[in-house]
Amino acid sequence: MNGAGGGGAGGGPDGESGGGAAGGGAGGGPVGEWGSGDWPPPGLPVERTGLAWARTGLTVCAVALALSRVADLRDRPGPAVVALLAASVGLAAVVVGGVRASSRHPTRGGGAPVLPWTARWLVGAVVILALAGAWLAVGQRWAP
Amino acid sequence: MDDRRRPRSVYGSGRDPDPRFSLANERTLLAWLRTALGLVVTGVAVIALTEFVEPLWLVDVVAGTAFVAGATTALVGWRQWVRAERAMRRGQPLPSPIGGVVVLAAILLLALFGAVALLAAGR
Repeated sequence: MNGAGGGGAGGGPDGESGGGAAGGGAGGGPVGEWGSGDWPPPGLPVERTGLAWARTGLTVCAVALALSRVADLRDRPGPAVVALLAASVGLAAVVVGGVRASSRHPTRGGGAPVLPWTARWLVGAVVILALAGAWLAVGQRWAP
Repeated sequence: MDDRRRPRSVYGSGRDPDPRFSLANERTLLAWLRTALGLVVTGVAVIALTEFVEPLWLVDVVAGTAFVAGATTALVGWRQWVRAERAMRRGQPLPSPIGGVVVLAAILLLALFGAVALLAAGR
């Protein structure tokens, strides 16, 4: 494990695709099980992906709660309930993303990482949130 | 080995790329979703300001544009993930980033509507 953090930091934001030249093997640095001597070790992209899941899931929750609050202030329970359902999907995404990142090996048999089921649900949640917002915007003046 | 990974339209052909590239593609999808959420929350903010801005129909147009753009961006992001992952599995060049043009157009349209609303409110 020693040196993994420093090497990863030096790799920069594009380190997962361009750091091969720095790795080599002269120093005998840590090489992950995906490793072919590339740098940084595979744990760092997994960790970054887990954090991206957390960011996105929390953002879904925040937007959903804001939409729910605005709908509630306007006595529109329909969009508020839909937004809260979307928030639960966001929360699930945070949990699934975190578990996946902590396992440090989101693959089956060392192959490509499988896209979690929450990805499609998250896309759906964002679309549903947008539709709930449109429902709120249109409904507040145009509904009978 | 029985491969049950979904969606089959992606995992059903080609061979697994370097896992780091798949993870980068996954993070790009999440970035698309966050951009979509930014558009949605813009619509929410516009609705919240409805009480202070006239004319009201223009406010609805701005908010509606933001919501439609948000939903479109999320779907475009998913499509981009599918196309990129499939291309990497088949060893083909990555697809053109045409989705970015859609988002840019939506944001420019939103800014235009917003400017018109502000001008109308100032009169």
